[in-house]
Amino acid sequence: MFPVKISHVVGGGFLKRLAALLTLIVSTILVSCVSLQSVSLTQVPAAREKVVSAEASKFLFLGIAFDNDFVDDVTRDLKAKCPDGKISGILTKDEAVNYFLFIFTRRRVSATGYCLQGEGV
Amino acid sequence: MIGWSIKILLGLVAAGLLNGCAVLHHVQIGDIDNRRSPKSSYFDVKVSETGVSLDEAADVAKAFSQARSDDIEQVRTALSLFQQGPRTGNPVYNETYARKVGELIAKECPSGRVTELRSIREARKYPVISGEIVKITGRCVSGEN
Repeated sequence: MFPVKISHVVGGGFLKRLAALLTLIVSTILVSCVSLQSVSLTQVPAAREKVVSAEASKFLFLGIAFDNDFVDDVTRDLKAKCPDGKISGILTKDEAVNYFLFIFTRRRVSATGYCLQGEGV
Repeated sequence: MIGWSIKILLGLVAAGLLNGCAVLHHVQIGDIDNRRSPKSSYFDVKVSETGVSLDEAADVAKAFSQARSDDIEQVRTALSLFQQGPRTGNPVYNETYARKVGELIAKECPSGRVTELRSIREARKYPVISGEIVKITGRCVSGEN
């Protein structure tokens, strides 16, 4: 067998088209759509110096989940970031990130608020 | 005699049907008072109501009944006309099931000093029916205001 380059056999145009097709397929697989499920906001304080945020997510196959306990982590993380303080103005976002033809989904709950510490809180 | 593999498969299917999927509709986290308090306790309140998916019910009816599928489709269309608009989960018969949440929280926390409130609207989904749930968790700080 003689060493023969594929491009000589099938032509450079074919390879370019194949590369474009592969790029399209890979980008379809990797790109995700985000949909916002719900948003809520509590009273925003006057003192807004220290911002704290936390996030928890769960990866789902075909959208099937047997519990929603991952949401508990958000409150726990927020509390850990504001010891001995009060967190107000909490913006909670619940989002669904869909990957590859909605077969895989990631449910993401994120919360951002203001940590108030010290006297007079 | 049923083979072991079929028994295991049936067991898995039954477990899957009985477990039900947990569908998350809405999450809300309230203000958190993380300062040291002498006495506090966590509580949770849950109210639920049975929801019915008429779409799935119609599919089941089509599969098992002798009625013409056109008739079932007409019933499905007529019912869907009365159930328009945004909603979370399946329709329920008693739409006031979540009204007592406030009373239940007051009962759980007589001091009225509630913090870390987390409201979750979710559903337990089974074939045709679902459990439409409102779950509230929070921390009650004891003592006077």
